[in-house]
Amino acid sequence: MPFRCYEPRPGEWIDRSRKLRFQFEGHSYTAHPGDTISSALLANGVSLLGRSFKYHRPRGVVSMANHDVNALFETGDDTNIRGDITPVQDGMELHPVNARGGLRKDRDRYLDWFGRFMPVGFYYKAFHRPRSLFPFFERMIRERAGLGRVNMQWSARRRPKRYGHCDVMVVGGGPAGMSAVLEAAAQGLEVILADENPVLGGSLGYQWGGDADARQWLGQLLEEVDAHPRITVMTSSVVLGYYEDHWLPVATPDGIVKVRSRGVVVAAGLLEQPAVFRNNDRPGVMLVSGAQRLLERFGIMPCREAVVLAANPEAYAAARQLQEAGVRIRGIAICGESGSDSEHARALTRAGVPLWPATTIHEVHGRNSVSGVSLIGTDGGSSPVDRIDCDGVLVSTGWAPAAHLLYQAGGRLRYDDTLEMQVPSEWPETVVPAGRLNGAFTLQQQRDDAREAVRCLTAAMEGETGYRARSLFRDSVAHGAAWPVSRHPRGRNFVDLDEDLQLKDLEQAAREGFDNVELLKRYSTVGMGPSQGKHSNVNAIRVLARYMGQGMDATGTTTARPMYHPVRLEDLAGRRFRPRRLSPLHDRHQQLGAEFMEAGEWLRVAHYGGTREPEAAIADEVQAVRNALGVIDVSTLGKIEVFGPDAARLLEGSYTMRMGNLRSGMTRYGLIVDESGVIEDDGVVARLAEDHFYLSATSGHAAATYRMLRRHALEWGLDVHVVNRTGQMGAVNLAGPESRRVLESLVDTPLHEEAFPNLGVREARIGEARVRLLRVGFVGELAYEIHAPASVMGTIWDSLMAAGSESGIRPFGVEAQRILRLEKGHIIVGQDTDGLTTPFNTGMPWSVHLKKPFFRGRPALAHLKGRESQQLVGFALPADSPLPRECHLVIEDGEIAGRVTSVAASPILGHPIGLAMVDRALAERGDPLQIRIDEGRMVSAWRMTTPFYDPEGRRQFAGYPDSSEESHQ
Amino acid sequence: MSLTVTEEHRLSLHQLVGPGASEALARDGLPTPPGELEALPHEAGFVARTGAREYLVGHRLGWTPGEASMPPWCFERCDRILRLQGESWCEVMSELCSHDMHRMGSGDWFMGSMAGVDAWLYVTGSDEGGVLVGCDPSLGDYLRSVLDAVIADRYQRFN
Repeated sequence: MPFRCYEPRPGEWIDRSRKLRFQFEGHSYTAHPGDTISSALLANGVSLLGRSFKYHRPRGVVSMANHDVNALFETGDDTNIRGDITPVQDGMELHPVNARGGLRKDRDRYLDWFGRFMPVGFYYKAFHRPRSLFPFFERMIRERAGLGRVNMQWSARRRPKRYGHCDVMVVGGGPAGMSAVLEAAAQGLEVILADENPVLGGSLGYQWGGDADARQWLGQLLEEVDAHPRITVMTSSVVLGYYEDHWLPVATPDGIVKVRSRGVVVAAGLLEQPAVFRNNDRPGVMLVSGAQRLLERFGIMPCREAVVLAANPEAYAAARQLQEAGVRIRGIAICGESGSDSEHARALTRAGVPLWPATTIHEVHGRNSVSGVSLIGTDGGSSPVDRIDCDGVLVSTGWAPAAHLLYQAGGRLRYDDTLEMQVPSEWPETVVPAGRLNGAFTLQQQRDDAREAVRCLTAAMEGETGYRARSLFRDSVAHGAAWPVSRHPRGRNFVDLDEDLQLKDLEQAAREGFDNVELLKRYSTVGMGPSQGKHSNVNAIRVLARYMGQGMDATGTTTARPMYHPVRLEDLAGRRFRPRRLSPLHDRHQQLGAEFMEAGEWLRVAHYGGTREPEAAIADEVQAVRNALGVIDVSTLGKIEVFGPDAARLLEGSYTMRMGNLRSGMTRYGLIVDESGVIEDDGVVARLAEDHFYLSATSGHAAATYRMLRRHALEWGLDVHVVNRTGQMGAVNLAGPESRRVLESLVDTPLHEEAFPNLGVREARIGEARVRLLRVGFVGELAYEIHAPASVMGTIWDSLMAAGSESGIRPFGVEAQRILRLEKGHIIVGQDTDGLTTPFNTGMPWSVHLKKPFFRGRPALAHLKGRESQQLVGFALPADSPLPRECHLVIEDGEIAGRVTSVAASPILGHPIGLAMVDRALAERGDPLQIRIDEGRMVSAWRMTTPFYDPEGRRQFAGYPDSSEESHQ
Repeated sequence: MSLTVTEEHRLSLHQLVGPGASEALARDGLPTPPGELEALPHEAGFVARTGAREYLVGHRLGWTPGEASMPPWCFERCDRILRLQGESWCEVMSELCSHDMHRMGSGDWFMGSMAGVDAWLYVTGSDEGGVLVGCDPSLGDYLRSVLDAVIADRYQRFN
């Protein structure tokens, strides 16, 4: 049973002078600040910390290195808390995950008895028949699946992300990492050192905890790092991944920092790997490094009597360290020779510790904790001893490099037969490995390797290439066993503790044909649990390699993708950036009781009228425009200046219509298509001078049109300037029979037909404000668009409202505008068009001037002309008909023959009208449209040519109507 | 010193584009930044070079080229300008922008994405100090609200 040492350890992380109280499964315990949940429980003698994912087997501490995924906990509002690294807090009330009725009496523990009926892949093979029972099984599996339970009453939280910058990022705060960071800083570089532990030191703090010289060096390193002005230290911070251009997201206690560095030193160390033997998952079986962490960081004795399974020098050093601390070492089973003749091994022998050569663990005894082990020869034969009583089994049989960042940066690993572990074999010049990860094990090797890594890195950062991918300080002895696996006829020798995968499961998967490592992973789920294979991948590859009769490198490895550890959603979410654009008239609209709607980034007025029924308010706005005067804020329109000697050439090539022959002082409708002839944008092109144009674009496409024009100017080598003034300028459209009368009282330029004809453009003043007047409209009435800098739009709006009050001026919103334009049959790009719609589909062949030698999309349009398969047609419905919705389908002979693109009840016409994109044959026949509306009902619409309203377009011209009596009343 | 955001209303902005732009500036005694994305101060504001033949002129008294003929073309700019003051302005910007602002010094100019929108930043060398942050007027309320939120969060975190 584990317990807390009476004597503090020299470098322990806990503050013994203070105490915390917490609860686990309703029992009260004490801990010290600095304890993790797992260390606190072990200090209180609690070693059963969780139940396994599939079989609900008892589990405990394994690594204390953020990989103990069978020791997950939950509080009232959080779940899947990793006990090995999460600090215990005063007042915490903890419960295990994945256990029903408490850990000891988990009601699902019987699943372990039926393990033989749940072999690898049983999910895929079972539950298909009889089909009638599938819902039962599905419900049962869903209830049992997963680990922690999510509190559905959660409250959304966000933690801001931020950016960080440095010359060199060093990942890992162990001896190599700290040596590297000091070396880089000494060269004048700004360095960030990130380590996932709350205290720097890495393996120097626990693996070398019994070494006085190492402790002294650690103190010196910490002092130098702390004092150096060019070093920034991030502790409790996990580097989650490596992304292009040296972007490294770091999960810190304050949220994610996205670090950009010029170079990276990966000194993330090694992950100790478990051995595979029967009941290797019992609480009390742990990695030697896990035991060392418990001892040196938290002052916890992992057990009283231990058997050690050794295959490297680290095992003997640890056994001696623990023995000196008070653990009785019952013996060392040697499953790999390396280290067995070391000074530590000899010292242990002298102290009476038996060493059993060529021996491994056959089986661990005990139900919820270790009570003893049985041994067996590594060749499967008998061992010098049979059964040893103990309460702890400490395993050190091999390592795997924490080289995920290197891998993501383009590096590769190979299996080193000398070291018996994977090592980096190639890496980018500016992402370099260092330390134990690179096969440097002794402290001297680690220090030298780190300095060499920084030398290579800085040389590469300076543009030199001579230092590429070399490792000069790798160790020359094995640090693991080639086959740390022990068979047992009764199984329960786990390769993957996350997913409860046994040796036989992987062999079975390979037998079934999943003999590629990626296939094996996906079929068996090995490495797909919360620790993402950090403790299972190497042994799984070993199992597959042996089954296939091939080497480790030939067997391959799986891909180590970001994130390295799970990340909280609140950290990934970060601060919410949702740009919202406001018109310069936004305040005016608010004062008028406007209802707003989102239009892309813009907030636009849907309609005015405050608490009135929207339909009534919108209808009144429509009537006002048709009968008197309306004004709409169109500031969201794209507004682009194009000027320079080649301005006309740029527009000639960018629009489907002729633009070069546009006269100064006039405007023209402009349509933009992409290279395949599909409509992208439309707007008005105004020519202000020979070399100066002013364009409008749709609100949602303005930025893209601007970018397209800039690109064309560059590609075509034109002497032209393009300036996007969309947000810098505001615009309103004054529409209705009274528009001229009201506007001419405000401007300093004549507006009569001869002076300012339809489609004209003029520079003028309203008061002191310089404005551009465009005689264009979208709603089919006499209309003027007034463009001016955003700073004066409020004044202009006020002037218009005052001048128009006698004429009954009424502001109108987007909803009314949509009805008004539909009555005129005008399309809205993106609503009446989609990703396949050409000008020919919309009945706008007049907008395509194929006589022009070139314009964007011309070759495609030349090919498509006359071949369109669909046509946009107008339709109308009886006044009492239910209103279809946009995207409702047009049906012909039971088949889909089109869809509604726009529909609205026309207050002027007194019945619904709409546009539909339908099959060409149907369009040409002119048959009524059968439209399937909500709940599958059908309505029949008669065909109607567009424009629905004022087909001659007379109302856009001056003098009509002459007085309000002639308007629609 | 605490962080503050204030509105800067005194500067009027104009964008000068096209051939002859630098000569027009020189004629009126305004500085001409030698490189693109550089800025120089003058007595009443600053001039930033935003492209090969593009300048942004900030002037407290308002400024347009003396001669009416074009080129160069001159457009009024209505950018929302915010003044961010306080020693930790870089820390605030590190939550909004991927650019390494710590390396910026007095007189430096930056154009890029901040909080997801296009903006410019000018480290003033004037007595008021701090930095000017400008953006499209339609996005001004948004950027102001983000800056206020970041500063409030930081105040809560560190006080």
